[in-house]
Amino acid sequence: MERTDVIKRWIAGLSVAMVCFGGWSACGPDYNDRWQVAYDVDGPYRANQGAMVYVNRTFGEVLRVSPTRTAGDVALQRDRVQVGGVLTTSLLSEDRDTLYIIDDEKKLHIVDLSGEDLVVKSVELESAYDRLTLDPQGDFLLLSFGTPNSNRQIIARNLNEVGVVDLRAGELDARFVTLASRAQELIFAPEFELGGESRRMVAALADSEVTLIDLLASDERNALREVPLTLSEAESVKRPVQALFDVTPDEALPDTVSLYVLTDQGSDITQISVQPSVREGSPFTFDLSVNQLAAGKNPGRMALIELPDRGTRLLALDRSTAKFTLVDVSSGEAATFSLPTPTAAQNLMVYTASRQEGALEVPEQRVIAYSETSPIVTVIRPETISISGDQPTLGRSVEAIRLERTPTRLEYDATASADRAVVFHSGLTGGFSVLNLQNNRDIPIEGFALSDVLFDGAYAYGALQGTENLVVFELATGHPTVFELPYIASSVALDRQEGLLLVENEGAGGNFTVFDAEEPSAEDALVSRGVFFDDVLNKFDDEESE
Amino acid sequence: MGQGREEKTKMCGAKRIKSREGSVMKQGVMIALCGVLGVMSVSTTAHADELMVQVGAGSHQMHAPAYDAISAENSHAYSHIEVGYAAPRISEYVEGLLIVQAGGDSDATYRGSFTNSLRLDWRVQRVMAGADVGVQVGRFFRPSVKLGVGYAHQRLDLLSLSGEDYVDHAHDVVGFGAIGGRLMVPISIGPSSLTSAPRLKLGLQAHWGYMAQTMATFDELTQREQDEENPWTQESIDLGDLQTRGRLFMGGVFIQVRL
Repeated sequence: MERTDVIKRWIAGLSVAMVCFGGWSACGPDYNDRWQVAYDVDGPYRANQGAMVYVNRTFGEVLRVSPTRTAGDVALQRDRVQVGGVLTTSLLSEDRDTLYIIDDEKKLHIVDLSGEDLVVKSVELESAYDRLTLDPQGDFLLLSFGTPNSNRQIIARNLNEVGVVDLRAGELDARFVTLASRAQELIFAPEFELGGESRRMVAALADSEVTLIDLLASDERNALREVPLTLSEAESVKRPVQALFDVTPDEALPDTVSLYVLTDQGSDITQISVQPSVREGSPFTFDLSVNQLAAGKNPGRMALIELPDRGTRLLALDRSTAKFTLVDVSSGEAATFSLPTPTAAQNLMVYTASRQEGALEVPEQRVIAYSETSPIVTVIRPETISISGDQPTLGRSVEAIRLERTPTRLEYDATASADRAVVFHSGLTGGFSVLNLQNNRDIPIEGFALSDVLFDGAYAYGALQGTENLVVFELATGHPTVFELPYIASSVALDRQEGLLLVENEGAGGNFTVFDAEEPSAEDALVSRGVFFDDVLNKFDDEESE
Repeated sequence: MGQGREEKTKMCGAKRIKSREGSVMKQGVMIALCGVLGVMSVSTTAHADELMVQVGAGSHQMHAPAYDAISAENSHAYSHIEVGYAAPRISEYVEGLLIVQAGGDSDATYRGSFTNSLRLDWRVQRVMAGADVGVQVGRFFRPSVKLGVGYAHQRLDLLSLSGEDYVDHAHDVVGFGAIGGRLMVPISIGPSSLTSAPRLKLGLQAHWGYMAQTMATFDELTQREQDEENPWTQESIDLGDLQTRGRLFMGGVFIQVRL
């Protein structure tokens, strides 16, 4: 009896233990799948005072890192703000004080970067847009849809819809318009005056069509004005590749604003002129007229040049041959000239140099044209070229500069007093070149190629690929001074006020080095690694599920 | 000598305990209740001192959301060695314990967070002093309550951050309480003693309970291999806090020797 009782008790006790253990192992909080999403950080966006801003899509936050001094020692300051949602596209304002971010939950987040703390304001949208276009003057923000992504599941959306956010008022106001076709690109016109009133306008470029959006129109009829680029939709599609507004007052075309549109086909540039409506009882504020300007055989890229006392010119590079065309927009007269290069130029950059006129230095607009397949870059001086004249004189109106290697990218700082540009070359040891834009000479710098460059008056700081070094070079002479880094650099930022340099180092996780900009050395520097993972263990503490 | 008076007790085997829906508190109370109701006869026989050595394994459940950065599981396994000493002349029911545990979650068992961008390796070692409080029920079973407190050392490795490894250590106080028991087989060897108690006992031991530590802070991760001649001043990495508290299971095989 006694033994049976004992056995029964053991069995009961073991049963309890088994149940408890079963409960034990089955219990517990569920695994948070956010730990397995892809690691995705967008940036850096170069903000003011040497700061770099990142949008950490994995954590739904914005991080600003900036160089600073604490008790005399260099330090790295981090400021974070939670934005939330699945962040998609970001855009930094021209003044670098505001970051705009949209998420896939139909929200626009506006992050103020100007203060000590990051401040976020959010606006509800009608759709989950994925493209941002910001007014260079900072008054409006446009939201649209980019190229449809087949990896993303879309339930339903109107691709022709454009959101317009008015940033001028304290309270953010968003309205939505539907265009006749999906806008592939949105181009802002600078503020201009027409008919005695201040105007803001945007060109929405779509297949075979341009829509002019009057941002200040009070009625729908005038808010959107479509201009077809073909006679009918049955024609082959003409896709706009570039559009330029000309709002400069022109005596030859008074009270007129023009939009020039270059498409992927044809030999013309479409000129759309906007003038105040003169017809009595017209329902439209503006009259639109369309003109075709001959621009060579196959124009691929264009620039607008303002020539004092001579008017406006369009300079168009030919897509397939080494030629360029100069167009007088008021008369329509055009002439095509050869470039001193073996291949067609695909890129151009307009800059302002100066020339001597007696004792005076007079500004002069010039154009650099270059291709990634030829080491020769061409400097064109439109002011010295007569459209009705002969081929421009090589060495005067058109000058060739032979670089050591083919260029991949050109960086020019318009505010720099040295009037220089830096040319990036391909390959790890392709070096770089400093272009003197006054005398059209290049200074080749042999060594590792640049990954980033930052201008600072008469100097420039360069991050070099593939080597733990930073180069500081004089723009006037090209003389380089090399400083050691703890790790390879990918980006550079400068706080001119504090005299501090912030270098982003290669590698995942957010790695930075802070230097004294005057004397970059290890003794007065700080290395910070894994900055993006600060406090990562507690990132999702609020999302515990049980 | 002689067997102690046995009391009949109620076991709570008939009660079903909720698993997912039940709270930690409810389950803890239930198990404690089972333990209390499971106490049976009291042996009044005088015994010599006994030494117990147990080796085993266990699991510790981690409630902290931060642990998802280290493992996809809700718990980590550990192995342990337990040494117990019973001096019946002092107390028939209490056995002093020294427990050493080692466990963790290796990076190899878990695909790193954020598609391997964040790889963490976590280890823990604990040394605790405690007591096992129970009564012998018959010859084969001894239910008991275990309590312990001690020191925990945790090590967190951040692996391959841009090709380098970083490490930090945390030192904490740890404590636990658990309820369970021993199933044993007494073996009489050698000459019989005055007490006629078996000289050797072999058996299995299992306890369930709860273990908690003070918060571990990993805010000073530094490079594992530091070059002393490196002129660069490097900040340490701050990964945050890890709370390690949760349900506990301890089990193993033991050998108990009468001295």
